[in-house]
Amino acid sequence: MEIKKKIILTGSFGVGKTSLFSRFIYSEFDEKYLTTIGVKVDKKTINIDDDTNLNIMLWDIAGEVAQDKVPLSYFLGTSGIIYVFDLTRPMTYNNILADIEYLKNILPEATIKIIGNKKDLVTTAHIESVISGLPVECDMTTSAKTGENVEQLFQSMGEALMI
Amino acid sequence: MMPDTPDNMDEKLAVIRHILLHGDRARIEQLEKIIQNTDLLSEHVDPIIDHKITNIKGDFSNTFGKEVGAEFEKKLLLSEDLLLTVLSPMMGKMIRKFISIEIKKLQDKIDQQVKRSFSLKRYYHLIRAKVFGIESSALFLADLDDFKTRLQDVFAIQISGLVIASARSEDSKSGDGDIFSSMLTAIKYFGEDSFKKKEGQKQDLEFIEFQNNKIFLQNHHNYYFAAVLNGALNNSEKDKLANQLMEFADKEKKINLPNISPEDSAYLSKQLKKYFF
Repeated sequence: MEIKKKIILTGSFGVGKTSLFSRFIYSEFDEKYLTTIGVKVDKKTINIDDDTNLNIMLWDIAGEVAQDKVPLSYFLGTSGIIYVFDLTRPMTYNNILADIEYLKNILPEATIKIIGNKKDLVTTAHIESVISGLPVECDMTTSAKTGENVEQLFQSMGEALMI
Repeated sequence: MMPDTPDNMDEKLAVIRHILLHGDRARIEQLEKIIQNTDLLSEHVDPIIDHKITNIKGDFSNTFGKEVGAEFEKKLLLSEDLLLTVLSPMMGKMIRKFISIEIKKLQDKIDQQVKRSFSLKRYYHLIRAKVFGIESSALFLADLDDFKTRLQDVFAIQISGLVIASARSEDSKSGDGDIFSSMLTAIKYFGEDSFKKKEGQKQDLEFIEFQNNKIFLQNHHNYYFAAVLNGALNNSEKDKLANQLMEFADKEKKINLPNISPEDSAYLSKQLKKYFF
């Protein structure tokens, strides 16, 4: 059985959404930073079990300092949201509580995963300190550069969407 | 009389030089003044330059024509490939666009002519047009295969951008339907948000044109249709397509379901194919 779901990558600018997108879809990482204009869409199939394949339509949305700045129409019909912040830049998670509440409000049915990216640039102690200070629970820490936890992130999102 | 010594010889020579060269020195000083003063120099030189320029202008082709021509030809030959590479696509696009516009004009003229004439042919075309539900101008052009409007793809797309159902012709070039639908939806929302006048005042994107390719959009409550076409599309054909899409939406109620199962999607795709191709 083939099932299609829309997943959105969102968060502040420069947190590595497009890098996670490229790592997951194309298994690539580029050191160059190119800001996303509007939206970039691609798809990938995740195998859930022997009978079920999940076709993920992944929307990589241009970063905004606050989620209420993202055009509301981009969120229409979204099943999963991956909210990404940068473990090295506090300004990308200082507003996290308001952002998550906003997303829960506009998409109460959607599965939300909160991700701390760029873990290759910081120490384990730093990661623990950042996560423990967050007002929301961080689901996973990733590195788009090394690929650490990227596949696991999308696999766990896919499985959560099938429940 | 004093004997000539080297010293007084020099003095004497200086006096002689002064007497002999006095006139020349005055003229040299005057020339220096002219050369150092731009205005004075212009007075003398400008008429000569003007005269030369007038001569060159009048006889440019004879004087330099051969050399310039040869050089231009040489440069042109060297960049022939580059010129062709640059100009060909642009010319092609211009010609296609021109033909498309001219065909529309021709169709409109035929419509006007048909309305004016009272011949048997007119009634014949009118009856045919009535029976087949199409404009009489389209019948005149029906034999001109190159200018026919071709429906390439029809998509029914959820507001999320996910495809509900799709059908395509054999010569469709739209690529991956899922990515096409999602990106089209993103573009649609971008356009609609950009032209939104006030909060809550929604405007729908209805038509996109890329040279000879068109995307006709018909918006419904929780989904929209996107029909990809190739060729000139006149208003009557647009109306006909809009009616066909409405009829399909009326007939196939499953399309309104908020959650379409894979089975429903396959069924609706099959119906779209049957209905439009």
